[in-house]
Amino acid sequence: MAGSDFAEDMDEHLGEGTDDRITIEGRYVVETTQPLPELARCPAYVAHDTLSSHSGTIALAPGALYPARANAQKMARLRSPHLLTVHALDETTGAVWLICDAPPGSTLAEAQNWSESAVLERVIEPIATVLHHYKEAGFTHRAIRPDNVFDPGSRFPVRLGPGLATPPAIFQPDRFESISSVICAPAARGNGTIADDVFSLGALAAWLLGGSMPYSGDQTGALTEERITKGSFAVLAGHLTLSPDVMSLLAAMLSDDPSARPAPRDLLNAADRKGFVARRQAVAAMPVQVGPVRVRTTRQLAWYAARYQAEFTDLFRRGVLERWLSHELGLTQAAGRLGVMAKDSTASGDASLSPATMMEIIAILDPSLPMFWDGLWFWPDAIGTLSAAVASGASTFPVDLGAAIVAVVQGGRLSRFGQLTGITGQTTSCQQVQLAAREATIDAPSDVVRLAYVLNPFQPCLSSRCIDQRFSVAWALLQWLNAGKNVDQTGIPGLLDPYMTTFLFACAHRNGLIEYFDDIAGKNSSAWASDLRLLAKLQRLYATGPLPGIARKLLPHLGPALKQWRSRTTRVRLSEALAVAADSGDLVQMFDLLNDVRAMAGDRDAWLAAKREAKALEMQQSNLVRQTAKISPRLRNEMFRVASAVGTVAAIVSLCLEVVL
Amino acid sequence: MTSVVRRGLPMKWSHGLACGAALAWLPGYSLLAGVLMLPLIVVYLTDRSRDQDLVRMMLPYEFAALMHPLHILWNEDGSLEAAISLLLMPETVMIGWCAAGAGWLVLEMALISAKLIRQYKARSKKAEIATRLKELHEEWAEDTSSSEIQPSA
Repeated sequence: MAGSDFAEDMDEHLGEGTDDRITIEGRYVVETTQPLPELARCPAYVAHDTLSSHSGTIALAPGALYPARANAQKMARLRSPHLLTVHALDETTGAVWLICDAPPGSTLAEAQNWSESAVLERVIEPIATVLHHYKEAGFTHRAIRPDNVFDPGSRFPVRLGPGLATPPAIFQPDRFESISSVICAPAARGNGTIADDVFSLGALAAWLLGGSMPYSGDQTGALTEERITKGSFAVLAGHLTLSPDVMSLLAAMLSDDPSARPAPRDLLNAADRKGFVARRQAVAAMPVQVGPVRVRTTRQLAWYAARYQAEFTDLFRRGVLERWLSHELGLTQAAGRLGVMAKDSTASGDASLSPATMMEIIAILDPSLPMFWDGLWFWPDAIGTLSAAVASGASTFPVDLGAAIVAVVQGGRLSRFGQLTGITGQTTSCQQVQLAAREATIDAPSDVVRLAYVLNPFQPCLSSRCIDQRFSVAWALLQWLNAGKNVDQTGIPGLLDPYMTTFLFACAHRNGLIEYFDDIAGKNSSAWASDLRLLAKLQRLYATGPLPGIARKLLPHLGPALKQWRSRTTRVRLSEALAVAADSGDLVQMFDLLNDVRAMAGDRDAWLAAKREAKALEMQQSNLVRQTAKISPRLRNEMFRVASAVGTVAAIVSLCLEVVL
Repeated sequence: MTSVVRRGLPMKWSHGLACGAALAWLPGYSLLAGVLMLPLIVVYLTDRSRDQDLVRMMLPYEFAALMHPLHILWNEDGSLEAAISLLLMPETVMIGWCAAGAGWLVLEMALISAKLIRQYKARSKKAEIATRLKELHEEWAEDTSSSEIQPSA
């Protein structure tokens, strides 16, 4: 984007921003002043398709705290007759806008009295078709719940709402999530697998067949322990009186073992009522007592291990678990690995198990469970969403999330979990997060927010000053700053706050303009000076053209940066030159003026020379005072000679006078 | 040291002899010169410095002052009476004695003026140094102002 063009574009977009209408892809017009009810918990607005008056469309505006999914662009290309089609995903206005089919009817949340065959034909089969497409494309939907499924009425199949407009599973009520997902906080659920979507579909079917009871009053985590103990199927659908075929179908779909759930392809003809056999997890005849509970399965053991760590540690070190696993459940391999770990941990002499050891034990006990780290259950591919949650401060977590993420991404813990987990795709996710963490240089909890931007290109800037603007591209933020809409925030010394800085870093990194985050980070300078450094680099990298608004805002605060120049004349000259550069909006020149290494070396040399001169002058001054105080013998002799000469002249004159007169 | 003393003694003796001879043969001249050079003799006896610089410096002044009375005495044939009558004229003695004082005065004046010139020079040099130091200070002192850069008009 060439300089002047960019400025014109900016003005154009600014105009659009202030206008009530936004045009997307030259076709869809969004009325930003006419909000609609949320779609799948994502803010929606009225939109028109200017090329086709028949198709109803709406515009979705994913918020900054709940951004569109990282692979939303590819997911949007997916088409299915039973899915609300996403026609466009656009960032040219500076924020993410999704144009999506308008819902064909009310949501299932308002539906009642579904018969078995209606559920099979109008819900399970069409959604299974969608999921089959998702599976083929390698995506997951993760937003199958009553308020995101729409009933066109009559005998038409339902249509599924978009799953890409919000982070995966973040708004899923507990009862529609599989056990491996529900034990995590909503932000920690990650992309999951297609088996998790199958579970959600099964849970949706069970909910419809159970009379569509309202679930908004459900307590988060209230059913988790019961589901762990009895199994999700027993808790969610066990009380229903249904035909055996449907019961076996639901039992398979609601299985807690993801590998035991049917694939979407198996559900395409669910109405044919073919038999499904739910595989049961191995249950021990003799339970093992962990704290107050009797545990019969490895999943229970893993979950209670996280809950009663002290009691579990004791059993683990005494070798009780090892024997129980091999004798009762026949898991000799897992028992052998735990045995080795127990010996190592006993040798280390620590009272409690380290988070890394605990993570490994749980991953060995049940490879389908998420990663457990220091009290926090999460899936590695959710680290981006978790980082955004850290930044928003909205979610409450049992641990210091920032510190936990730093600990996880350092020291190869993610790779270790990637080796142990039984969930396909998690190994790759672990590697991706690890790579992103390396590129973003995550060394401290304050760096964690970088991951939110790096792992999700649609993550808008999280700064509280511009969070409502949902800026997802760097130039939009630059334009906003240049327009002077930024308000100073107390406690933030500079133009940009850390979220904006990180956002701009991440955008530059994504566009390939920088390789590592530290490449354009300013060191040892004031906040304003490092803001100038970053913005000047971005101005150069993006060739944005003049940014006088930003330059004028920065200018008054560059005084401290000028102080590194020792010569007053230079400072005056530079401040004048800076003012001129600021007027023309040339941040690059301003930066160059302040950071001219050669001129600064010259200034330093001149300063040293001046210091030497001042020292010499001061010495001369003190010598002068001492010298004038006394008369040297040499001067005295000189004066004698002068006086003698005067006398001699007087004598000669006297002689001459005597001779003449 | 001893050689100086040994050499000095015969010289002093020769001085004495010369003075004696002068008194014997030229009593008028000797008296006139002796009286008028009295301050010089006093200085010679009291001045402790080795080279007798003060005496040597005063000598030409005394010589200048002596010129006129000696000339008058010469015209009077150098008689003792004429010398006494000259000496009885107060201005002769005053001039002779003041001449020695004039020598001293010239020296002191020269010293004072040299001192004054030097002081003046030093003062102007000092002012020059102070100006330069102030310049340097203003140019290189740390900036303690509010340090806000004003936009250009």
